[in-house]
Amino acid sequence: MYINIEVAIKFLYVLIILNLVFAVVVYAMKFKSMKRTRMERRFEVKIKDYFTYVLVNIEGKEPPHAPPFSLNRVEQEVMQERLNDMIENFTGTPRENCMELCQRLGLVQYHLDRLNKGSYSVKIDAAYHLGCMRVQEAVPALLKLLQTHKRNSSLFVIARSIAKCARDEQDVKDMVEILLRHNKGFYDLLVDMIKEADIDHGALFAEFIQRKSNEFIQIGLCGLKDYTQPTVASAVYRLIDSPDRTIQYKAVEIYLKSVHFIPRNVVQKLLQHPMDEVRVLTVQAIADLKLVAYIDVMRDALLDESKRVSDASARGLLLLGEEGIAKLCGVTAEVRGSEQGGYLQMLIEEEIKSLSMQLHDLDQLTRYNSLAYHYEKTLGKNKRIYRVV
Amino acid sequence: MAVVLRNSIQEITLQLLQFIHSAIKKSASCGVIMAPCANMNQKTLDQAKMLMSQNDATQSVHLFYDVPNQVLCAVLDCGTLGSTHYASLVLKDFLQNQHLLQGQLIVSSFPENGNPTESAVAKFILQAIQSKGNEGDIHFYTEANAATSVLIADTDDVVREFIKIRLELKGYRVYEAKDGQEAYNIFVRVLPDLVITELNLPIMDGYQLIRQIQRNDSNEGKVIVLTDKQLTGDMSRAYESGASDYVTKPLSISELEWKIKRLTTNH
Repeated sequence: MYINIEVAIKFLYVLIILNLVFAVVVYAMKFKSMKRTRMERRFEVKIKDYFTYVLVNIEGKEPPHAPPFSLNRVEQEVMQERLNDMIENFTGTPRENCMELCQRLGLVQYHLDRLNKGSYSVKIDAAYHLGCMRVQEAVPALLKLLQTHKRNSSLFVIARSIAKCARDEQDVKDMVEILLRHNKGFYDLLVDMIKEADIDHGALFAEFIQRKSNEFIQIGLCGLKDYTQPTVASAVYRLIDSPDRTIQYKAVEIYLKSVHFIPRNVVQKLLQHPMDEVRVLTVQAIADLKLVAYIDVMRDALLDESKRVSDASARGLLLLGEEGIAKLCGVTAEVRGSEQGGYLQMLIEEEIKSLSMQLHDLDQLTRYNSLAYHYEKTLGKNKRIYRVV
Repeated sequence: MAVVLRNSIQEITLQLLQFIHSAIKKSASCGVIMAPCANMNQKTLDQAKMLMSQNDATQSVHLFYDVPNQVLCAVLDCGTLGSTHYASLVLKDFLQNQHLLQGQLIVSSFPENGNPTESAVAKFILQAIQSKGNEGDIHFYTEANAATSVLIADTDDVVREFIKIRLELKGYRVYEAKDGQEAYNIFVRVLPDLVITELNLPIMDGYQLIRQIQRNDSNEGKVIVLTDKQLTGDMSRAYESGASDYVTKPLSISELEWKIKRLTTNH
């Protein structure tokens, strides 16, 4: 058998050398990182008093002075991290003073240069820091970077930075338009980023829902979902008739959350909606707003073909006082023997049982007595139910 | 003939008082830095003075060293608390580089931190002398007695530190905790007048902490929630748990200070 021993030995030598080289590289990296950590810790101790000074004087008319000693690169990075944290945590004068301090320390110019001249990773890092420091003059370069960027997580780092640095609504709109080109439904993430911008978010979202593009409408609706002013209700009302079902549902949700009264024609329109989620929302809103005038509508909804609507309506009637409870028991008695009747009766009995455990609360006690009385009157002829006084 | 006996503290107190009064007469405010130091001679005093003047040319600095008490005093004409604090950074850097610093630097500005009475100045000097042997940090002298105590529970070092510094300057006694369990343990031990808590806390979250506090001290357990959770649901849940007020991040310190003041006024 032929064995080329010399080749094998050479191959082994190469492997050993490669191993050694890799070991040296790994140890060098480890040593460098340890050295950096040590430097950072030493600087953290050194800088402690300076940061106390910054925190004490952060609300002053004048921004705090730069530290009275020079900083090397690592120290500047530590300083940058701390200042970023402060800018994120504070509003008003303290935030402005921290931003001014970043300017005085040369951090703004440093990152602007990196954004314009650095490699890809350097540019992303610079974009992040410029965003933290709310550097408005960085917006054009950031928008340019965003335009040519492919779709990955860094895209959102740049977009968020643009929102933070935005000079006006137009910058935010430009950012949103570029992101929407990627055609992905990240509307909640976009809304979260828009909320970082120092602009009137409500006005921008309201403007978005006026547009023709469904994507802008979706963003506007996502943004408006936490608003409860009546003006929002009138803004979204038009979208209840949108051909897009998701938009319809979101519009109804916001509309019902922001109104204090729902006109009868709207109630009827919503309860005839083909989506049962919309009918459920409507019934729940009537109960939440305690609109006793719509007990008759709730009664009809009890017999809705969707079990979810029927259930929501029954639970809603239980919240609408004596009259609602009487209506629920009455309808249950009417449909006794059917599947729906059985379900409603079970629901009432469960409610009686649950309320009987909370009789220390006066409201629950009143509801218990009402429900027990009407149940006994209409359904519970064979059972003895005790009323609590 | 009356014989007046003065101890070494009285000597330096009177000397410092003279400096403070003449500085206030000249420029309405006066900043003072005290630092326990060893072996200060005229040369090092001149070096320190030059360095401090270089950093802020608008201020005139007087430095003197009290040999019996081994304390360095720096008096800054027109020294507000902010400018005196900054000057103390320069002085500390110099003293540490020369290996002269033996304790904490105590900073004050009169009348910003109180009236420069003999007893107040003596207390101030004593605080510096007593700091001998401690780590060379910079501390503030405040005349106010820390009658009201506040516990801050937050995972964020910057927020905790910021609120702590601001409240200590206003005369509050402040305790800190990084998680819910630590906060509850401190609460049980010191029964603070007010608790400021984040809702996102490890081990025991903010809601649990509030409920535990209410269970422990339902009448007095006042809690302000300071959180980045801005949804109405979180707010309602916090109030249901027993929170007295709700402040959202990013925080406005003046809003928080007013709310703390309102909740602790009865103390």
